[in-house]
This record gives sequence, structure tokens and C-alpha cells, in this order.
Amino acid sequence: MELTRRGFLKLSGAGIGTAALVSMGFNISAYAAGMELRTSTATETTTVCPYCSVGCSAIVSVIDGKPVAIEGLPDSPVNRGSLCSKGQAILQVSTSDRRLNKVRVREPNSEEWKEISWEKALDEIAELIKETRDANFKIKDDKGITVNRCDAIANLGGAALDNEELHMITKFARALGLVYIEHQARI
Amino acid sequence: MTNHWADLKNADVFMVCGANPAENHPCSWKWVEEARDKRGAKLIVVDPRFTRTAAKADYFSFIRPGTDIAFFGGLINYAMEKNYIQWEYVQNYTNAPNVVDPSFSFDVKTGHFNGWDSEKKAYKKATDIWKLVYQDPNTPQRVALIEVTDMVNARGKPTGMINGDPKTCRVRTEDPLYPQTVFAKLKEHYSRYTPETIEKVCGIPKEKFIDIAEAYCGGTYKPEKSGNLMYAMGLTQHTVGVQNIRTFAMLQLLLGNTGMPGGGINALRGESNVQGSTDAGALYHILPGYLPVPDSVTLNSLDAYNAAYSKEKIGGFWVNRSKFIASLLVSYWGDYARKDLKKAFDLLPKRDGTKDYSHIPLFEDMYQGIIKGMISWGQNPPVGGPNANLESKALENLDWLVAIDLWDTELMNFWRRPGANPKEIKTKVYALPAASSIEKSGSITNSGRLAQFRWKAVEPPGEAKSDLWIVDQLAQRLKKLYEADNGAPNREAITNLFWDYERDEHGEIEVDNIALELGGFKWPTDVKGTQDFWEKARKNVLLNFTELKDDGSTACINWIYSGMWAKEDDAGLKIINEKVGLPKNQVPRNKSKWQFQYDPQNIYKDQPPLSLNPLWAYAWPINRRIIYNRCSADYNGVPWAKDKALVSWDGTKWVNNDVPDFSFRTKDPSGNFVQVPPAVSASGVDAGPFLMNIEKGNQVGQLFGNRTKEGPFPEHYEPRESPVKNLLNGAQWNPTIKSEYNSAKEQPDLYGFAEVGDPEYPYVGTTYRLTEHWQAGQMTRNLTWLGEAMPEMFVEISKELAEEKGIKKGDLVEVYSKRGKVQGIAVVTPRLPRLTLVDGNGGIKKVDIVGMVWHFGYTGLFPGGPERDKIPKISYAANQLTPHVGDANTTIPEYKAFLVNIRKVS
Repeated sequence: MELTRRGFLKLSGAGIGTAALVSMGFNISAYAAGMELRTSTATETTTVCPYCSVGCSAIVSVIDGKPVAIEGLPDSPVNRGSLCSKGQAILQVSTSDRRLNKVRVREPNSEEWKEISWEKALDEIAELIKETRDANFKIKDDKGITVNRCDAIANLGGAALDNEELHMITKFARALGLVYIEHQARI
Repeated sequence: MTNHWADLKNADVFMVCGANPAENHPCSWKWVEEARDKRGAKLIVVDPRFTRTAAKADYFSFIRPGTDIAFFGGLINYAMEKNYIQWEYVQNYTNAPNVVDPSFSFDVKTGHFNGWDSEKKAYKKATDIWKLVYQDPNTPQRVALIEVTDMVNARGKPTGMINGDPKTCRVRTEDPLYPQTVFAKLKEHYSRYTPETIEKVCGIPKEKFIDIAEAYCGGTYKPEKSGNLMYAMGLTQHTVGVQNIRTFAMLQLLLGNTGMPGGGINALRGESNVQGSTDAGALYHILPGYLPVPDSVTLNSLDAYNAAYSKEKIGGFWVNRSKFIASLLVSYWGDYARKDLKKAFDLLPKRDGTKDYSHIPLFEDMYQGIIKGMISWGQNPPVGGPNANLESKALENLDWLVAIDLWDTELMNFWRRPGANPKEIKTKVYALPAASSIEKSGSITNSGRLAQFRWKAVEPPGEAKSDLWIVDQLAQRLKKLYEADNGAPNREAITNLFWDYERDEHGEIEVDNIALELGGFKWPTDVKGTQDFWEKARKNVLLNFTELKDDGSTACINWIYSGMWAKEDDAGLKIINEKVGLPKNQVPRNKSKWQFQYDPQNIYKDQPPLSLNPLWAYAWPINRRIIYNRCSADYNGVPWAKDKALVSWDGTKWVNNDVPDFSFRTKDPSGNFVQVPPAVSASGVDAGPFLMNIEKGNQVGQLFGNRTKEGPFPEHYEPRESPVKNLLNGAQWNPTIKSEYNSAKEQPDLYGFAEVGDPEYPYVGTTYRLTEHWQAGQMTRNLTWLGEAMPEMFVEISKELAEEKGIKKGDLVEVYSKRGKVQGIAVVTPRLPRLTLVDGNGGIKKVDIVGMVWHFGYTGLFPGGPERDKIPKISYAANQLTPHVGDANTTIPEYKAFLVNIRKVS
């Protein structure tokens, strides 16, 4: 449904552009006839903006596994096709060469980062969690009430994650007995 | 939001306070413009700064940060004085006609309500001291407040449709009980909040205040008119944050604006899924679905948890809480919970019921060495946290830190922050690269409670992985570790944790499994393996939370999302099938994936007229787009405005545009649905228009409430750091806050507070955001497009202040508070005011506001200072100035009003 209509918009948009240029006296019809929109071969996926809480929908156009364009989703009754400067920049979030793409560790008192494998990092973190949890776990409080909690580990953040991730993270954190569970909503 | 973004177009008057949607929620602004274009809606903006939103306003006033209760209280007083009251609404849908216990009082001299314990410096238990009078345990006493000619008798009291102007109502002040009603008490309480006092306290000139009050109260009290409050952190980030919102909510009740299309109380949330993460219980005090976290004092067993909200004790919809917690326990611990729910409840951690574990005390406790390890999922406290110098120092006390993010953030690099010596910092830090929003699949919930799905478009870069993969990997490892350790404490909580999900070809959890857990299902039995379990779960979906059970037979990880997964006979599937033409089996069962409109050919036109968009994604609860929508119609179920019909009674049944927010049907003894007539839902007795109110027999809007720590009616208190004495009462600041944490007590010169009217720090500092940047900056300061548009830290001051300090536009300035300093480029502008106030001695006092953006830090492509040679790297973030002090109920930090000074650097 959406694809057909957007396909129509793309075509009509290109048509208007060509007509307008020709009317201005440029003889570009030969060139324009052979021109295709950059996104014409792209796979389109819809997304929701990760920045503010309006929840604007956007179309991500992907060619060869790389995002090539982000545009507002006209179908969305929330943003009706518009995006702000941040929403437009979702493309750069994915393509930026400043993105972290390696797992790293900084040892105590060290002055630098070192790369480490996922396996090793996750094994070590799991061990650290268990060690800290077990050494600081309180089964009962002073009054003999079963409290089953660990005050020594904090879990922070999550306002940019997906609902499905968040429910797994809070399930995981509470199963460990954590009580210092906080995120951006508080502040 | 009680309403939602597109609904802004239905408003008649907007009041925007402590928010700047034109700048910070840009794509919402089209709806405000549409209301102005098509309905002639008026826009009022009251803010410490002349913002981009203010630039569009019909009415604008500056206000001193931290004086919103004085302003809103002034509006309440004005509405009452002028009889701008939506009387039928107030009589039926609020507790204004209720009788207040005679012990209620307020002492202006001390600033305390009754029940203050001067030794403990705290109030006694709120429900013991602030009470309504009950005729019997189930029936609160109500008085007929008004008299009109054409009212229908209800609950033995006059009420009914008021034809024409509600001002034709006469208040029955001669009733012997009138002086004891909530309404009379409310009127008395706010009688001190006169336009003259507002001018002295807030700095809003009297004439301007009256213009605004007339436009808002006079413009929206009529039944068919909708007034819309839009607010954001400018109202919440105060020591009186909750009471700020409550004051305005009360005004909305008096004017009959809540529950109306275009009305309501609309929190403009700041992050894409801060709504969903709060729904998911990522806070110390709530489990998913706003179920309270168990504690050691009162909610320490399942029996105690359920008894607290039993039918004997409370009214309203929360009597179903036992079903919600049982279904949560089943989704956490599966068969273990089904066998024994009480034992499963014991596996949950019980917080110390006397302790606050929120952000500020969390970092205070980290500073004290109580917290040894931390996992952070995309948060960046060295920039975003209050008292950032202290919070950065506190991180040094961690043994280990796991920071999961897309970028090299200030948090994961705290050990090499400007001024720190890495060799002295013992913390082991892991930096785990995460996937961005288009590199994974899942839903997020916007400010209008709308859960929308986003599909994975590309693979994450390099080794980056989704947060779901990371938590899954950690959970699997910990399960193994605990299975191998019989002696570990409470190991059952981990070994029995239900974590049996279908996985895709990359080994990632199938997100639709979790969406199904959100929707809720009857727990399958006789299961053969993971796939079989989920096949059966999909067949056993629940319609919504009304089908949840407290016997362990149903699983639902978050009751408020129950209904998000369509049953095969779902009405929505039928509508899509008939109106959109898509076969039912091709429509996703996960409703957050729905992207349908009634009329896809006409999406640019307004279809349907109210823009409820019921087939576009999924709004919790049960796809209800506007909360409290019973109040959009009168007592008899006739909509106040024909063009704003959400629910209406046609004489025999309810006709609904939106999902009704009240008991509109019930089952008769033979199990068939029968319609509930309007009088029942308007009665306020357990089925009333404010269903989540737990007060017995009184499901109405609470003008008088005992759920906040400060008292039944919000009262103005000054910010913790203020340039003036409190003119309205004898308490300088909110008496119920924790006014000082250990860090300030032990090191007042590093982390303490300025005095009231401190000559060293004479100006009011406040912080804010920009379109081009976002929150703690990691998501925008690394991008060239956005960084080039807004490349550096700046400080806005008034022309008068600049002249006095010899500061010119473009100068490098330093703003400093008792706790730290930050440097930036001066912007000298009339957008920032010099306010004229009255100080405690009756003299005139001029107060300047210093405005700072808070996005900048010390890492990233546009760090905001370090790249520019002349700016010392040690002063990088506005939050180096803000204090560790928070609201009495929520401990949200007071970021928006603190004392500073400013000097020119070069």
C-alpha cells in the first residue's frame, strides 16, 4: 500500500523537477531521462526517530547494506512526513566513523584502552557481577525480613533503548537482586 | 501525556510552561499551528526565557524560575474569583463537593499544613492527617455546590446538563457544610495568590498576568472549550516539581479541560523511549506497569502486597493489582512462580522501605563507597547528572563500570577527564559498543503513550551489538555460573529465571516473543521445547489486562501493555481487513507494527477529524488515545462539544470514537455484556471517570489530595537556592525535601549551597536544550551536520547584566556556582530578562537570569570547549554548577533554578 503510493510520489516528483528545469531554459531532458533517483534501487524500511519523544516515523533507504537516505514517513499521523535537523541526522548516527565498533577495557590505574574480545569481556563482566553480588548480598534485614537484595551494584540508563530490551534488562537486574535501578526519567 | 501529539490540533488555548516544543519537539509544532490556523487557537507562553516557542505566542511573560506554583495558584484564584468554573464538571467529576475533615488547616506563618511534627521536621502519615469526611467506610460525604434550573437529580444531589454558560450557576454558599467543602478550602487557600502578589514573587507584571489569566481561564472554562497544558523539564526539575504539575492539574479540573480532545496535562518527554523505559520499571521504586517495588517495611510479602490494595481497603481499578503482580511473577519465573506465587515474590529484591535509591542518593552512596559496580545502558551522568563534579568523583569509587554506548562518552572516559589522574583511579572500565536505532528491531513508546515498532535496516558497525544481545549474553552466563554454585545466596532467582526465547539466525532473541509477553498469554502446559512453548503462547493470547488472573495461570510482563498482541478475533484486524483491504493473516499480530489509517488515500487530509488514529501503532492502555475520556461528555453522556465526541450515550448504549476510560459495559449473571448507563460512570463510585484514583467510593479528580508529601494543596516554596525570601509563607523552601546530602554536609565549599540572597551568587541560573543537540550530547556532538550548526557552549544573559559586567557578545565568560564553574561564549540578548521582584523586606529587587545549554562535555567531535585552546578543559558542562537537591516525592534534581555569578574571562 505505502510502497505503491510512495513510488507514485517519487515518479511525479522527478517529473515535476524535469519540467521545471526545462521551462527555465536548460536543455537537460536527455540527461534527466536517464537519471534515476538515488533511492530507486534501495530497500526501504520504516523506523522511529531515536531523539525526542514525538515519535516521528522515517523511511530508511538502504543500498548494499548501507543507509543512503532518511526521510520522514508521509503516512505517519504523528509527523506527516516531516523531520527536524536531528531526525535527518539519524543517517550520520549509523554511518559515522566515530561509532564504537570494538569492545574495549581500561584496566585499573591504566592510562589507556585495550581491545578485548566479546567472549572475554562478557565472561569477565559476568564474573564481576557474581563476585560483587554474592559478597554484598543481603538475604534478611536487621528485623529478619527476607529482602534478597544487593546494594553494591547499580543499573543505570535505558531511555534510548527499545521496550523489548528494557523489559529484559529490568527482569535481569531484579533477578540479580538489584535495587539501585535508575535511568534518565528520574533526572 | 493524557492526550497525544496529533490531538494538539483540537485545542482552543495552549499554555506552554517550562517547555519549548518549537525548539525541542519540532515536529509536534505543526499540530499547534494547525489548531491556530483552523480553530483560531491562542498560544500562551510563560517561561524564564523568550524561546522559539515564545516567538510564536499570542501572550508571553517572563517568569522567575521556581515560582510556577505562585503563578498557577494565581490562575486558580483568578478563575474562582471570576467564576470561570466548569461547574457541572467540578460538581460531578472532582472532589470539590467533598467535605474535608475539620482538622485540616494551613499556617501561613510557618508554611506548614496540619500534621507537621516540629521535632521530626516531617509530616505525620498523609492519609491520617489529610482526610475527607465519610458517611460510612464506602461513601464520602458530598455537598451540592451549585444550583441551576434544569438539573437532573443524581446521587441525591442536583446535577445534570447545564445549558449555556456555566456562569449561570449559583454557588450554594448558604449550605451549612459549604465552608467545609474542598471547594471552599481551595478558594480560601489560594485567596492569597493575588495578581499583586504574583507580580512580586514571579516578576510577572500585574496587567500581563490578568491578560493571561483571562485568556486561559476565561477562554477554556466553557464546557465545549479545551485548554491544553504543555510542560517539560522546566516545570519538573524543581524541589517542588510534582506540586508544580499538580497545581496545573487542579486548574485543568476546575476549568473542565482534562479528558477533552485538545485538553489535558501533556508532559513533553525528552527522550524517544523515556516513556517506555519508565513503563518498563527502570526506576528504583516501580516494577513494570507502575506496580510498586516491594519493600522491607510494608510490601514485604505477596500477602501484604495484595492486602494493601484489597477491595476492602481501596476503590477504583487498582483492586486488580494482585492479577498484575501475579502475571509479572509468572513471566519472570515461569513454572517456579506458577507453583508458588508467594515464593516467587520472595525472590524479588525488597528495597529498604525507608530509603531513597534514586539518582541523587545513588551517586551520593557511590561517593560513600556503598556501590562497587555499575552497568550503564547509554546514560552519561558526567554531563547529564546534577553536581557533575561530584558525580564524576563518585565514579572513582567504583571497582568496575560497564558502559554500553554508541560513542566514546564522558562516562566511560571519566578516569581521564580533565583534571583527573588515571594512575590514581582504580576502576576497571568496559566499553561495549551498541547498535543504533536502525540497526535492531523493537518498539519504542512516545510521549503520547504510543508504542511504535521500528525495523532493523542495516547491520551495526564492526563488533557493535544490540543491547538485547548484550543482556541476553550476560543473563545466559550468569545462569550458568549460578547453576554451578549451590551455595550462592538467592540463586533460585537466577537459575529459575524464565529466559527461554526463540532466537533468530544471529542468535538474537526474537523480539516478538517479548512483545507477546507484553500482550500477555495463558501459560502453556505440556510444552515440548522452546518453539512449542511460543507456538502455544501465540494461540493463548489474552484480549487485554481484564483477562489476567491472580492464580498463576497467566503471564504478562507489563499489564499496561496487555492488549498489544492481537487475538485472532480482534476488532482491529477486522477493521483493517474491511477498510484497508489487507487480509487478516497478513496483518501483524504485534500491534506496535500497525501502520494503517482509515483512509490511506487521504492521509494529507484530516481523517478522521479528531486524529485519534486507532490503527496507527498501539497506545497503552488498551489503545486508548485520550485518558479520562468520560469527562469529555456530561453527566448524561452527551459530549460537551459535538465536534469533540470521544464517547457518547445514545439512550441505550455507548457510542465510542475512543476506547472508553470507564466501566461502559459489564457482564450480567449469564455472562453476556450489558451496557452501563451514564449515571453509574459519572457517579464516581468505583466506576468513576478517574478510575485509577484509589480513594474508596470516590473515583473523581482530586482537588484535595493526600498522595504528595507537601500537603493537600500545593503551596509556593522558594527553590533551595533563591535570591529572595519566600513572600507567601514562613517556610523558605519545601519543608519536606532532603535539603542537604552528606557530600554538602561534609564538603560545603565543594558541594554545598549558596545562602538566600547570597551576594556572592546574585543571579538565577537555569539550563535548557537546543534543536541541534540532544541531552548529554553523545548522540549529536559526534555528528558533523549537527555540530557545525551549533558548535559550542554558550551562555545567554540580558543586556543590562552584560553592561554591568562589561561583557560583550562573543566574549568568553565563566559562570560559577557554589559547586563549580563552566565557561562558554557570551550571547547578550533581550531573550533573557532582568526581573523586578520584591524582597522579603518589602524593597524592590532586580534579579537577572543566566541561561545555559547543558549538552556539552569533554569528549566527542564537538566537545564544547576542549578543542578551543582558550577554554580551559576543566569547565565543560553546565551541570558542574547544579546542586544535589531534589523534589520531595521523586527526587528529580533542581536543575532549573540555582544561584550563580558570572565573570568575563577574555
